[in-house]
Amino acid sequence: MSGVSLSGMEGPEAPIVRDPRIEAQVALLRTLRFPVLLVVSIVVIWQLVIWVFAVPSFVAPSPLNVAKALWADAEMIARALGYTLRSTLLGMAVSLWLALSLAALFTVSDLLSRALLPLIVILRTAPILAIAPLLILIFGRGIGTSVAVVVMVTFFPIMVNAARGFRATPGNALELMHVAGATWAQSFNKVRLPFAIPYIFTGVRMAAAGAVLAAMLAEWLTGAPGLGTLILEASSFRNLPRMWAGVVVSMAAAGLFFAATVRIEQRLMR
Amino acid sequence: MTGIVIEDVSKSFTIGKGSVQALSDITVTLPPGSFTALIGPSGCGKSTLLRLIADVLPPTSGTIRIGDKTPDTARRAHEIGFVFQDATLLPWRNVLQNIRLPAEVAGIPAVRDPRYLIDLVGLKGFEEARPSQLSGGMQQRVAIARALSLDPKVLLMDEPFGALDEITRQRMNMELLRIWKETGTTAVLVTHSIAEAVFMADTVLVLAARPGRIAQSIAIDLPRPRTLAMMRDPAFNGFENAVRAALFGDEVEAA
Ligand SMILES: Nc1ncnc2c1ncn2[C@@H]1O[C@H](COP(=O)(O)OP(=O)(O)O)[C@@H](O)[C@H]1O
Ligand SMILES: [Mg+2]
Repeated sequence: MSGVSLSGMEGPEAPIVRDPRIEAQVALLRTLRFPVLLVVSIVVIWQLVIWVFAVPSFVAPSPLNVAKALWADAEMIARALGYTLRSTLLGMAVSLWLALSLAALFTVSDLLSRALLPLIVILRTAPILAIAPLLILIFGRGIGTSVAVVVMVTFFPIMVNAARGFRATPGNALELMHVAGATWAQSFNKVRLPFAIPYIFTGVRMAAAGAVLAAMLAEWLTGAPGLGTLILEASSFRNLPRMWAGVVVSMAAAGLFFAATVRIEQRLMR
Repeated sequence: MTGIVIEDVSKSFTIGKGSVQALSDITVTLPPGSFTALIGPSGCGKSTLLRLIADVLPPTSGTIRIGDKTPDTARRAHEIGFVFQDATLLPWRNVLQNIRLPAEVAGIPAVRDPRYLIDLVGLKGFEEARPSQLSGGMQQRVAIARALSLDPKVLLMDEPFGALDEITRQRMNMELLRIWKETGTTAVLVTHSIAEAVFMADTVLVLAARPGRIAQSIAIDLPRPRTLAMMRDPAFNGFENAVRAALFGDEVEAA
């Protein structure tokens, strides 16, 4: 928080002048300290286990071999990552838009929410594997099905939380808008939506954790050229270093994607 | 200037299968430019009456006129300013942006310059401050400035200073009278304080509960401008006692 000092209450000693940019970087390092330590430990233990027990490379490759594969196939992996991330982002965007629209609609009509909610729950519980042929028929074997699967996986938590947020608007704030002669859209944009932002981000965070995995799941079904397909193909060709390189990159991507949503939330909440 | 005419107004709420009579047969005329205080026990329908005037709720029966308009028309013509007990500021907007909200919603330029209003309520220098950086009293000043920004014909206030300490409250009351004088609006103030009601109003409406109705209308015949010194005046105490008697009836003697 970089608040304006209104009180002039600071003591006679001048406060230490802090550069907010440096402070943010220090904070970032501090939050990254444990994840980095954890990853380094896992890599070291992994390498040690392989050396000590002489694990054959067709069971599990050493981190060194994975790193080599990562280096050698960098371009291929980057292209696959780009495809998967594009599906994820597009899916999340569509999902966010759909979820907010429906949640907003629910604030207008109780009847509508009672009619639609069971339908959405059914759609939610349908195993994606079972409806995969239908999805492929509708959206094709390209990015369309990937986006659809990401939407199906991420839509529900965003919508439920957004609906809760839209219902939690302070009554006085809405009355204030009403007295000011506001239209429904004005009340929604200026009051309901901003008050619901913390709720919406709770939903987005829950959804973001599984979004990358959902995009990869879609690729396993359609064979679209993303990270999921790369991992599957590497596995069927017994190219374990490449497979693990793909896995490591997808996990890192999922983690970064999650971290990005947290960052955006912090930005907006200031 | 615009008066408020309330005729045979009743309001009942349905709660589950039953129904609660919140207001019963309210008939009263608030002259243009007058200052009216509403006082009464909790739950007697003071807030409900303000909400009916502001067209937040429709009456079950009876009619309300604001000047020659229905509350709905008056509201859409931005003739109503409303101040809640909690300031109800939007926390992500600064003082200036909060005061500009009604003009923004109306899609017209502010009738009263927001910077003039900030000056009027004594908040010069806090234009860019966020609500969370202001004290309760300052937040309530912003709420009043916001209510005045489209120069409303009527200003409705629901216990606006109820959460403030005695000293701040007294100061805010003095300023409110000054602002009311300057703007010429018809003011209605809901309060829990007998002294506040007498100090501020031309007329104190004492409400009784279950069902909510006007127990007595007491004209406060004190000169304006009102000063703190008047509160020591025997006439002031006389009006206080009259309000107290209307509120408690026989209980005053019994205690
Ligand atoms: N929206 C509502 N729904 C149901 N009952 C209400 C509602 N608003 C007020 N009431 C009831 O109407 C009565 C008067 O309430 P209110 O006007 O808030 O009283 P006051 O402001 O004088 O304390 C109370 O009995 C209250 O329970
Ligand atoms: Mg009340």
